[in-house]
Amino acid sequence: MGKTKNLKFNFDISSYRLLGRELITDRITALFEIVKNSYDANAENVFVEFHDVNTRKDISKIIISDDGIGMSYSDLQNKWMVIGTMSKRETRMSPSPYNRKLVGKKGIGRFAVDKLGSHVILKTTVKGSKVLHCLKTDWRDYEELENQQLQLKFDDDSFQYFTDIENEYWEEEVPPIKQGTRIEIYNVTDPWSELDVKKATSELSKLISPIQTFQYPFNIYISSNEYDDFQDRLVENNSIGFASLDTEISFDLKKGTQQVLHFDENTGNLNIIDVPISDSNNGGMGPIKMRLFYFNQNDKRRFKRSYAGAIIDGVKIYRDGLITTPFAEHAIERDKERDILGIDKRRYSGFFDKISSRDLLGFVEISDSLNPMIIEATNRQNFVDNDEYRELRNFIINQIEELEKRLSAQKREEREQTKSNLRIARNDLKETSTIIKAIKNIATPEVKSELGLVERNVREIEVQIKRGINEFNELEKEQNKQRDLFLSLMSLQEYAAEISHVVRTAVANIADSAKFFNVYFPNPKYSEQYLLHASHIEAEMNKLALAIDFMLSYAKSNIGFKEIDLGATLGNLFNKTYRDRFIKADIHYTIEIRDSFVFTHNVKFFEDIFENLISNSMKALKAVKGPKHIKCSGSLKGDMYEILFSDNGPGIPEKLRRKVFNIYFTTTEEDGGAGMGLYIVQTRIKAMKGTVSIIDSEFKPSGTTLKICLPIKSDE
Amino acid sequence: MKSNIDIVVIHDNVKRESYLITELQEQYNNVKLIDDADDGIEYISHNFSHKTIVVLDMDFGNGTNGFDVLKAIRQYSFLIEVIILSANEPSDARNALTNNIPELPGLRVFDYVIRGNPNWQEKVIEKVNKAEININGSIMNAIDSWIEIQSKDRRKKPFVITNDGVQYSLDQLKKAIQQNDDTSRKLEEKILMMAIKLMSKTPKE
Repeated sequence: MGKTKNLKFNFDISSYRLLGRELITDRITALFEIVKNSYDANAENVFVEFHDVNTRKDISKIIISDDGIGMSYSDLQNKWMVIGTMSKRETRMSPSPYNRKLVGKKGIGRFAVDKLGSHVILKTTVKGSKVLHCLKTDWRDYEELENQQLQLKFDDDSFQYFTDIENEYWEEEVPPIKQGTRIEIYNVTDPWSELDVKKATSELSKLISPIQTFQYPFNIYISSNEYDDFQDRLVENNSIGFASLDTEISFDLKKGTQQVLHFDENTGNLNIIDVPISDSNNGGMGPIKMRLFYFNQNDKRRFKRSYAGAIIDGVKIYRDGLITTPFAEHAIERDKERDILGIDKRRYSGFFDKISSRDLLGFVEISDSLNPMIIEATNRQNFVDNDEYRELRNFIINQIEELEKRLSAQKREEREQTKSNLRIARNDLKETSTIIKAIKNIATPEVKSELGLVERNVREIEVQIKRGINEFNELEKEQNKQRDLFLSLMSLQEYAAEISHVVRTAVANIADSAKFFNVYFPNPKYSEQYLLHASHIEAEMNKLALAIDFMLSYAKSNIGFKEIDLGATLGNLFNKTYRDRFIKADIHYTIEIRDSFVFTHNVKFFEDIFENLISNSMKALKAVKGPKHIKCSGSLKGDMYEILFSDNGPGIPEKLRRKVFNIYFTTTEEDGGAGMGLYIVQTRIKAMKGTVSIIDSEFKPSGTTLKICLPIKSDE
Repeated sequence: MKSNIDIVVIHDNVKRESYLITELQEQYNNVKLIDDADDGIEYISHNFSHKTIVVLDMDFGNGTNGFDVLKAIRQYSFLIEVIILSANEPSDARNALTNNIPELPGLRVFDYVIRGNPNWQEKVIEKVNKAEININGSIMNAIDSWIEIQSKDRRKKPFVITNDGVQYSLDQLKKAIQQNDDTSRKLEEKILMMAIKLMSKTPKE
């Protein structure tokens, strides 16, 4: 060891807390940060060594070393020891010829060390130097001081600043060809099990795109003296090997073309076609390289078996081969990962055909030179929201959608193929039977008796196949039914959220009034308000009672789903259930169902819609002096079935139209309107994935017309 | 003494005589209650000041919702603090807290309170108080207020030149601050960095 002296960090508690510790949330992120620092230092190789870490012992240590540019004494003093210089932010590139885009967080990698262990020895040297600069830091000293400082005893004479803590510095000799930095971490905070090391490996493997070839390599090696699998193991991203579908698109700068995925419905193939590059000089996102890997259930199982702790986690964007910052931060909890590209958000609009980010690994390659306007936001949580980035996001989603089309076509194809194979098998057997019959006619008695046995067997198989075909068809029908049920359950979820909103609102209002009494009563300043609050409480209680009735309608109704013929059901409702009441109220009604429409749903729920509409119209028609009309018509409109429901009542003023579907909104309070009718109508129609809106009245100038659109589901 | 900061509550389920409004009025001189999202947008467009705290509902039934109001507010100013008060747990609001709505990055909100949870009124009032501290302590708000008291002439003249050579008058700077654009963010960052540099360079005697 050479001369020993002391060095002090040049920062204070506020910057320590502000810039450092609170940004590093867990140890895997910490490791990730340190390795990113090596990348920024032009290292080609980083070695992460775990020594005796399985249980925490005195000899446990973690060593991270690289062959990067290292630090001189002045670097150590003026950069490492000073927070706030942020030298990284001023030059965004690492030194030439590597010119790597810097990925480390705002100079806080050194704090990451603290998360791994409190006692650190840093050894570093630059090329050509014979001196290895060594610095020992014990973060416990800082923590102790931080605790003292938080007590804010400013008048205490012994008060110390972070800048007062002395860190031991010494020099050692090195062969001049060596360069790089070595961080030895002792007093390791937590034990690292083999699974922990595997997880860390899996995280580190995401740092570099598996589809990029670097001009200058960046290899990470992990080793452990305890785990056999980790003997200078190269960290590689092999996850993509398990995917059953792999697509790749690129671009050709000379031709000015960008490849995109295109699903051809006629051939069922996922093709790659050329389109013009979106020119970054003219406000475009620039050319994109992308690879998508789709994992089906089997692939996922194999993937999980081979990569303990690893996950399939969607599409990530890499710039010049290295992960971009919004994706570069590890999230411990899966659910806290952010859906930056909005892939999972799409699934709510069509559960069955959409791929989730858990089925997909994607690597989007951009570069500083070709995609200059795709910029990471300064908060590192997203990209700067500009037209170019939006274009990129749409581009990625479009590619995924083409892939989805291919997958659902494939599913359909496989189903058809199975069906047709079964049919072919049945026909083949029939033919076999015919041939056997023919042979029997010319065969000897012994052969005939043998053939009889074969014939019986063939017939039995034929019956089995027939049964198989029937079961297959039944299963398909059942599956469609289940899908319908599932869709309505999804909307039940929506409904549950709505009901809880209603109950919470009422409870909040009651609590507010109670609070008012509690705090202000009997202050005479508010004497008028007390009465108001008493009546609010009563009104809110009534609303709660209504909401409970509505919930009970679900409990009482038969949850079973069955086929409903729209025409017949409406006919029944108008001509039987309501006929007498219409006559009594002097209402003339018309039903015009032009196209037949049969669907699977809960009969009670469907009837609810029209019972509420009829009841609303009858209330509205009370005010009409002349002839009273209710009209209901239905017809196919493209892939929707459209129902128009009209009356010639006083109508709904334009400005109230968007409010009438709100719960408790009513204009017929005196007629017993509670504001539930149209709310129920809308909820039930939503459950059928349909829409309802108020359009211009058929009975102009007065009257109301509601337009209901229900989707016609294909048999996919 | 009551605070002069503007409090705007845009909510269709909060009543004028409610405890929340009454208590806010006890603490603040200017409390405005609006029960319709469109009216809320209208009001903000005519009365926006950077010293405003908006308590905002998300779900107004059909039509315009709280997010539309938030978007409108952000068109005018990024300095207005918005506290979401909704009966639903607003996942979008939570995302907004982390600046992470894919379609609408940067739609920052100050915090959110679930209306109906225990002591929700106190929580709203506590957040409003905190937001007030934030507004009063914000560098950008301070600059914005300072620009406001400068003479019209001075506000029109060139004031700073960025590294890229772009010239800004105080009026342009004010707009940049309200839009929270790159220039204003850089400015804030630089002021903070300068403060940190100064702090870390102060030798201890």
